[in-house]
Amino acid sequence: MKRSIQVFTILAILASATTLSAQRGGRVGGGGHATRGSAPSSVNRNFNNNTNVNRNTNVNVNRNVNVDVHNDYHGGGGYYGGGCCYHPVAVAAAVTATAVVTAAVVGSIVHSVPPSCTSVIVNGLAYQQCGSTWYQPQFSGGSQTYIVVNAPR
Amino acid sequence: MKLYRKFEIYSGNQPSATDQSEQRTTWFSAKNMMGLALPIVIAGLLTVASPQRHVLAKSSQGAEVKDTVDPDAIKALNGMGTYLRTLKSFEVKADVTNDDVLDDGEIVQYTSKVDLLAAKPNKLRVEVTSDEKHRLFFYDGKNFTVWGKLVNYYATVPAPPTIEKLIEQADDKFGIELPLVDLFKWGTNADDAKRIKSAIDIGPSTVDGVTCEQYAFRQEGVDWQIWIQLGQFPLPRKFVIRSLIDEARPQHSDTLTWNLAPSFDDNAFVFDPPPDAKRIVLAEENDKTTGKEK
Repeated sequence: MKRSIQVFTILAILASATTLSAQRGGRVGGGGHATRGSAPSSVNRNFNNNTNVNRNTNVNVNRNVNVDVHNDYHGGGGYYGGGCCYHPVAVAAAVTATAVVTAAVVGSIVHSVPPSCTSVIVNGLAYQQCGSTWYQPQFSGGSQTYIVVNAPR
Repeated sequence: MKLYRKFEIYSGNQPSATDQSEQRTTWFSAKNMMGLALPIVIAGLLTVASPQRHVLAKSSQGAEVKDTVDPDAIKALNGMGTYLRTLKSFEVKADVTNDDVLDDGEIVQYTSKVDLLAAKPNKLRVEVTSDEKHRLFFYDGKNFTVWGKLVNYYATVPAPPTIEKLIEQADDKFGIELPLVDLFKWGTNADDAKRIKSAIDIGPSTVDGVTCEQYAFRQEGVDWQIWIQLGQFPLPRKFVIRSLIDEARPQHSDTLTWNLAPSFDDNAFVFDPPPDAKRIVLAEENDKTTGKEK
């Protein structure tokens, strides 16, 4: 009993730490490292409000950890360590590791989808169907990501 | 010496050292023990160091230390802007470097190539090739399409009536920073030059065999430099932008090759999807207050 409480505590700390670091606003850069920003490419913008410089960091909390921005080049394969492909949201990953299964949350965003998904076209738009979970590919700023959506049909 | 003095402040429970060798010992042992204090010490050093650097700069320039705006530098910038506004169509290729800042402040440089074809006022085609992406942007005055050539996804949205407005919308609404947008902004707004707090003419400098004049500017949040071609075609040949907002000071650079007489037809700006390309959506910029993706 005591032990399970310990495990739970560690998990809770892990989860909150992950969330905190995510809120600090790291995106995952080209090499799979969390980045806090990037150089501006224009001098004719307003730099007073910081939005430009922070543009690359305003990512959703759910897509900061273990995501893969190499979709374009590597076809969604795991470019850096950790094997291929499926990197669900960080907090969910911690929970899933303890076999408390959670379905992918609608609205969460990942950079790659599981290998078993099927490409489906609905109303002219592409989706990835992975069992009962549907991912909608999207261009989001400079990245191509997948957002979990309700079944489109 | 400042290093040691600074350090002692943060290691108050260490016995104070009497000679330099002992100080050194203290420094290293405490370094092992107090991993957390180290960044603070370094930060402290930086704050100590920067005024000194400033003083050096002052003395090397003599007594005058106020930011100076060389009117000739502003004139050159405005001349370039005016000239850019006269161009009806052009193709420019750019070698781009861009720094990302890792969470711990380390700088990582990425390179990419840009091929931009513009026919003003309402046609634009941009190809960006980097290690991880191959993106094409099409704007024909009606629609704006993003095509990820490697993933073979594309997204098309209705577009505003001019390149300038498109640049704005891509950035504000979709979070897409089209490259080289300054080429469309210089010379459009006289107020832009008013932001410049310091302007220096560095002197002649050659970019890819072309003689230019190099200028350095400072304004809120950025230091930047530009190399403007000398002669009757005052084109920007290179520019470098350094952010001052992040203490790591990431830098961006573009080196440009110009073609002022590109051959093209209107189809160049229209995206004709390959049969196997799949259409997806273009996500709107995050709602910053909730962090929710629209």
